[in-house]
Amino acid sequence: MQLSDVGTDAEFRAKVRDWLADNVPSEPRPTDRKAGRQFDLDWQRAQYDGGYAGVSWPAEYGGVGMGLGEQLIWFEEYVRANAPDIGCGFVGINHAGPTLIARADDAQKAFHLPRILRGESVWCQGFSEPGAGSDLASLRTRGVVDGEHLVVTGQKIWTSEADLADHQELLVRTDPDSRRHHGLTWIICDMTLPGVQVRPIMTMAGTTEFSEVFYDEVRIPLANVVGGLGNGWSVAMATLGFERGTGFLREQLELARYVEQRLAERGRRDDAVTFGLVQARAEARAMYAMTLRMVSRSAHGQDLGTAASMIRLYYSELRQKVDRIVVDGADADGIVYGADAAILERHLDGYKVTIGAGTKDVQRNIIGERGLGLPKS
Amino acid sequence: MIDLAEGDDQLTVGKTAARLLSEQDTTPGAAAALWRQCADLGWLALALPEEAGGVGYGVCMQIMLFREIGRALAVGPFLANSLAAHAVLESGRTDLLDGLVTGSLRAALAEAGPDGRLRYFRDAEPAGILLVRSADGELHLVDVALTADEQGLPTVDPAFHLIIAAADLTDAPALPTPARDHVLGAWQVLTAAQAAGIAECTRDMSVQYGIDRVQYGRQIGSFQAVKHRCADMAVRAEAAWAATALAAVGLDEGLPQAGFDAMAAFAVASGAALVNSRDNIQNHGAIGFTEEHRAQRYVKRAQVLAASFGTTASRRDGLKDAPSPW
Repeated sequence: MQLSDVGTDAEFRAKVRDWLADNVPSEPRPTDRKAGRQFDLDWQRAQYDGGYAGVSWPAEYGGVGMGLGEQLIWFEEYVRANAPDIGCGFVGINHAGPTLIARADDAQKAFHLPRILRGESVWCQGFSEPGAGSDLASLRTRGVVDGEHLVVTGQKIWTSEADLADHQELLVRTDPDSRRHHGLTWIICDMTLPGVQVRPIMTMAGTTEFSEVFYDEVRIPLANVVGGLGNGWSVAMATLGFERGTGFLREQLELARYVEQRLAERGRRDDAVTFGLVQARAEARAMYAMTLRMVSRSAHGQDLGTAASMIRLYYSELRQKVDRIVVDGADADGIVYGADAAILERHLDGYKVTIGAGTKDVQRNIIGERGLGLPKS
Repeated sequence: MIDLAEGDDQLTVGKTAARLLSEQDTTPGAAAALWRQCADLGWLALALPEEAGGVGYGVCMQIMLFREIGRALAVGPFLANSLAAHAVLESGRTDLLDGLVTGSLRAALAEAGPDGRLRYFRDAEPAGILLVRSADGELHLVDVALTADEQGLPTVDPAFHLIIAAADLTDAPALPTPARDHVLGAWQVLTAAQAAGIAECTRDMSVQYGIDRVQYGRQIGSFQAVKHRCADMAVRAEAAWAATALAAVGLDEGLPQAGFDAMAAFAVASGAALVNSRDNIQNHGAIGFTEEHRAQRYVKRAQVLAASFGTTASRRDGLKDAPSPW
């Protein structure tokens, strides 16, 4: 076991720290969605030009080509520098990119990965449907092969950033006689194709971050299929595994930073809010340690079991606990959109974290059945 | 790069300790024999420097041992002797070293309250030397002969009595600051390791019972109410062990956040041991409520561990007042 920087780690950390100090945008992210998209893409481009986009992505596709250790250092310094939230780049950087690295062919990688890293392409994820939420394998949006195209008809829902996206990771049923996770195909859908219609949905937090997406005989080139026809489930699972694990490291560190900020504001107060935040301070370190352990085991090539689901569950419950301690303890400031509106917005937005990427109950089933070997329900 | 996974030598020590403890009688009645055997194997000198007759490992290796001690509910002053041996090297009382390492001299970990009285847990055998944490957080070695027992109270765990004693610390020199911080950190981290062992063991007991026990014609582990409780136990156990490992590495490498991480490990792991051991009773139903069943012993040991460093209020203040660990 080892925590201190070794070899070139310290040198890399110092370089990263200096670069972030000089380049992190000082203006806040605009609240308007289109302006927010531009802000996110400009910041992504700046990271690319600085040589820090995709620290652990392969160099031949525009990444830096370093290891998980450097990626970890980058995330730590990123949060320490108070750099912006990843914004609408989330799906491209955390899901689509890693999936393409794992499963796409050379042409697909050469086209898409540099565009993601350069801030030229926003992605969304077309998995959930009205009848396929936690039970993703029951999805019904169909794709029919017609010559050199897959013709897609159906509906997706809860698609985050669909209104801003250029491309989508789309999971469709290409074998009409198949059941469950067989006969599915993972395909790259260009969101500007004729027949794609996006209708934003207002969330309880007053944002339109997710949408319904309708497909009316959308013709997508077969060359966009990733991993081969009928192999969509395994391609999709590669993505979800990442989403539940390493992809959330930045969110975890941001949560830790939020706890520190709120605790600092309490000063010398000795009340229930302070006590709750003090406990959360300890738990945030445990969360970080769980992630370090998972990344370390991954670097050793060990089977990670359900570690990613455990971390996801721990993070999402800690996030909500902290938000609720703060907002419930803020009295009137917790219910008015006043000077401290950020705590209210954060609390309302936080309901999604135990729902998205597999609800907390689905995570518990995964941990119980796949991790602990308990019998299926 | 950063590495928080156990190395091969750590895993070997953990497995060896687990095998030994599984082959031994770990009930309180057989504690004297177990104590002698573990001392003979060098458990108490694991982290002492080689020039002092130790094995030269650090806290990272000790957590592997103490996790198994927690899991096995072993009784004996393993932690007290290990920490006291470290303290005597730093305080010039090296005449005590041999007894502490061979186990012929038994130590206890005591805390002085604001009233000046010492409180410490003791098993069936009397202690000869106390490692005392004073009310202002200093560490002193005090001969038991210089204290006067005022009370010995039975605790929830039949293996331990709580001794309340009067003592005068004025003539006992305090440990130098770096050694004090290291020993206080190790005290919390190795207690956390025992608690993590309990959190893991009770998780495993519940999972096994969920597989073995059939009601309504089904294994009860197939019911989500039971399955999800087991999943939460698994997450708590993982958090407890990860926090313990993080703090152990921090102590061994002398990192500035190690003091905070030791407190965090104690808080997270002792909480995990309490909740998991209690949920384990629920998962077992009526059999878990019996004296005969092992489940209740974990609850009681978890309570003693959670009470073995400071008070709820002092631990909370410690976590609050520490500088940011990030």
